[in-house]
Amino acid sequence: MNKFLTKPMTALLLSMLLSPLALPAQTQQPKKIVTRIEILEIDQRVQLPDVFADYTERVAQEIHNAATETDALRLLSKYRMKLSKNNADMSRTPKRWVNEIRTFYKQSDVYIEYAVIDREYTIEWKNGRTTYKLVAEINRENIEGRDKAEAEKHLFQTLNNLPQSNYVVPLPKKVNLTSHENGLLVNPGVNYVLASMDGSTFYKETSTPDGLEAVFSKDYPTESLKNLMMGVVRNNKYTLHLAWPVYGGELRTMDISLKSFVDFWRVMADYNVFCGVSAADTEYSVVFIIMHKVLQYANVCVMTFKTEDFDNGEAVLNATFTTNIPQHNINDIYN
Amino acid sequence: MKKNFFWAVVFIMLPFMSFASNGQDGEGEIRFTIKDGAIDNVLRTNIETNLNALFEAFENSLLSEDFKLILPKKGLTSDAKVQIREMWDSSPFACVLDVVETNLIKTSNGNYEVRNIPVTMMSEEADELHRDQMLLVQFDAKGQVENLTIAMNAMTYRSILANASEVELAQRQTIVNFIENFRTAYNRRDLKYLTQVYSDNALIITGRKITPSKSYNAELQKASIGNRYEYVKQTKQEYIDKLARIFKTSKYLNVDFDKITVKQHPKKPTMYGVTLNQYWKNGNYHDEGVLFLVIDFFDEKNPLIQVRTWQSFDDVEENGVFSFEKIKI
Repeated sequence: MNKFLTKPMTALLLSMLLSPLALPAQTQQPKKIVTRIEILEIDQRVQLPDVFADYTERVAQEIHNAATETDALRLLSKYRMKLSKNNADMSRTPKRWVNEIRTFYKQSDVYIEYAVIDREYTIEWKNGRTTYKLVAEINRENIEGRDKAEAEKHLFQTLNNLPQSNYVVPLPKKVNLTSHENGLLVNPGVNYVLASMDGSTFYKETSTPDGLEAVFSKDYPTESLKNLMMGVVRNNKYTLHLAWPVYGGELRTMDISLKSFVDFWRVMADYNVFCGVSAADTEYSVVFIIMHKVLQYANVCVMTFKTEDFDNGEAVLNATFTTNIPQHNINDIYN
Repeated sequence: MKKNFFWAVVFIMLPFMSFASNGQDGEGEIRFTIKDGAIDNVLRTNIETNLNALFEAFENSLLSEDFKLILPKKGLTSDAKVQIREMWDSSPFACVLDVVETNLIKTSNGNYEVRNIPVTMMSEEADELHRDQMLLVQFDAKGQVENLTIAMNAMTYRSILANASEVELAQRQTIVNFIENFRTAYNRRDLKYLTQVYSDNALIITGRKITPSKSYNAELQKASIGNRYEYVKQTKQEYIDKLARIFKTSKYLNVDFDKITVKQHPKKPTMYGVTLNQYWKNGNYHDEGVLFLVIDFFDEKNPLIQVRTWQSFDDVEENGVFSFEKIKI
């Protein structure tokens, strides 16, 4: 994952190094040193996703830094967090809760229990006699500390700096495959909303040493296009031309290697990807949904693929890309 | 034939219709109650009285031999009398509910509206689709009826995704994406974006929590229990101007959405109705309620909000949420 971030991080470091030099000397203010708040031991942190651990401690720090309980209460309300001690609500006194947990979490007999229930995560610090509990909404904007516009800029920069991917998805074991139509084998994937929107990949048996080959042929268009988006089609030279409507009504565009694009989400490991294909005459609409496993938001790519694009093996494929779509606050959008 | 049809409808409706007393005993039966939106109790009483008298006249007409409509002498403007008679001659109607508890909406010109009064049209020409209607009654600043119109046909939703395609799935996510951009614009105080996404002719109804004035005496305060919200109908420009003031003066502003529901208009496929819970905080003020948006995706790249209404949770619980059935589009 780090290899993808090399260029932006370098740019960021450079800007951080250079920025003080750009300021006139008289405008520089001494920085207020803020103590780093910790409320999770290292062995406790590994039990929950990094993003939640970081966020929990960041909010604890903000509450600690708040001038009054009233200010802290506003923060708690903004982040939609609930705090308690031994089932007694402490959400009205967040500063007090943070002060108490700061000493409690270090005690040798304290352990944590972490759970995700629907749209919230909970952390409980326990030692058999006392339980401190935090309940937080899983909200990407709050957790990442970036609103939609900022998150889109960040993702644009990241994708724009992606190196060409040479990642090779290993072939599955035959024993894990099941029979599909037309004599093909399928490695079944989880579906999303529709039965046809899933992460399945398709293979045919060959006489090669592997005994299997990922299907990519106009004879099996749906299966082939799903394979393409799941990253199992090797050595393809397709380019995605992304039309990316971002916050504010602006339409950004980007040309990116399709292989690098689809591999990025797989390598990141934080995402589930699903693909569905709709056919119309001589072209296909390929819908690729990228769902963040932890932060409950989606990116949606809708790509057009023509039948002749199978023959050429390389083409520029037009796609619209919509990103950072929250899922945590959806009740029902499909009925 | 026409008369036979009329009486057939009346006969069918009889069990559901609540008729006022004959008038000789004094006051007629109270049908309408203003639950929210009127901070002035005198105005509320005037509107309730005038609305009840008007509907009593409608019911008396339905029971008369020649269906002659005798409108109340007071409580209506002269223009309203002409307009209501024309409407009645075109098609009499009956309200099917015994009791209607409703909200008062203040319009930008200082007048008031009561929306969503369910009626059944009795005209032979009213086919199945057009028989059930919602009435909208408009009042002047004193509470006199000044207009009565039909809001829209009652329609039922159908599940559009019964045979959904992958592309439709993506389109629904695009709608959520638009809503997130819309929410972000409030938090960024981005008036330019908000001005772009509201249609110039958008129907905008905002709600505001009312804190009773300290000058109210105890009796008035007691009487005003339940009138905790004021609803105001605004033009796009009025709404944008109000937002500009809030954006300029609020040190802290946070708008959050939850429980988003999206439904496609049953007849206009580019129109989507979005219902969501809105949590609004600016400074020390905060409110929570239900937002109903109608968004037109006819131009997919530039969707437009045609309707934005806000209701308190209490109102939604009592009267239901705004939906396509209750809004004329």
